[in-house]
Amino acid sequence: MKLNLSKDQIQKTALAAMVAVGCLFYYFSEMIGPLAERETRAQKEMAALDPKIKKAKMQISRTQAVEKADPHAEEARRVLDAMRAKIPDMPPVAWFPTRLEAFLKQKGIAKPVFRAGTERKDPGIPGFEEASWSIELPQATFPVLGQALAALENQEGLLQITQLQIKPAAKEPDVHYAQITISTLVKRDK
Amino acid sequence: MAFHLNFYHEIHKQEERNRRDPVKLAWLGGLVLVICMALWYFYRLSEVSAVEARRNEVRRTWASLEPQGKDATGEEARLLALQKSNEELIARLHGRFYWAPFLEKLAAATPPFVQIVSLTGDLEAGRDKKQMVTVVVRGLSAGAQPRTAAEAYRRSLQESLGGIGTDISVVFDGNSLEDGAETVQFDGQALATASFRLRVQFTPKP
Repeated sequence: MKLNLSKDQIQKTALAAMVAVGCLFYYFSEMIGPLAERETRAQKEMAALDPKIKKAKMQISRTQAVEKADPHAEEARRVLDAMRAKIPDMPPVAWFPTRLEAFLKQKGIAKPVFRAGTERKDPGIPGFEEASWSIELPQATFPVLGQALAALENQEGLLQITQLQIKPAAKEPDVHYAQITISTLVKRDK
Repeated sequence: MAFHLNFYHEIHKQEERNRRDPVKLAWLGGLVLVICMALWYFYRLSEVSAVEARRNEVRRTWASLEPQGKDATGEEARLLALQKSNEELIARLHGRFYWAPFLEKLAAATPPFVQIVSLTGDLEAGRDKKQMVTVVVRGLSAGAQPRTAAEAYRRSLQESLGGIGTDISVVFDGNSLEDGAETVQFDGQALATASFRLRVQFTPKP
């Protein structure tokens, strides 16, 4: 079909085509283009955050699993509470000999001599350290000493006798001289 | 042949011109195109808005999870350290060696013809935290055959310690089993004596 367009019509058509091209450019560059950019940006951000979220969730669940997996937590908490209540907040030299002397006296063993060990070890229990004591018992008989040690071991759950020596007393053969070395937990110096 | 006159020919021509008017057609096409483009724009806008809403949700999740994750990392280290210290504490509590039962077994295994002069005991922990008890018992045995009596005592002591330890070794320390020079009175009889030094070693049962 042949179009017989007048000059005026040609001018209008050309103008319309130019406006259409301008509108199309505006449509794609200012409307559709920014939308695509926003979409891409959002997707990139999500792609970056997703692994972080997964990692954080894994970390949280792993921590919860570690918390639940401690088989000794309850017992250890009870023991630690008891220890904190039982061990005074003062240097062991101020309370340990007194307490043990009273205990031994109650069991019929008199005149114990206490010597604090110089070595202090870290037992791996926060807030506590291991102290050793050497105790001389110059007047003890074997049966009394045995019963006293049994009572001591039953009463003091975290005390360990590491060395034990029993021999006749030099002057009285019927009486025994004993020396025991004890390691026990005490509160760490602050 | 019939003669036909169309008095509306000008109107028809005008209608035909109007129908084929390219400007009008272009306007119509442009209008359809604009409508399509607007529809496409709103469709894309809704899609992008959905993606952004999802992104905002992810942002909110991350904002709440990030501090929790950081806390959990620190908490995990603290819990692991606590778990280790709990283990140490419980191992210390349950892995103790009780000397009183040992002394009780020793006293019970000692017959009247054996006298313990002294004993020295040591509790040592090896590198693997396995405990080892070493006790040196010095004593005297009396009887017609005092050395045989001392050997009988050694055996009975080894058997009696089965309840409290494993890997039990009860041996005379070096050449410590020797005949004594003096005699002792036992049940009205003068009996020869032998002195000995027994080395007792065992791993305590937990």
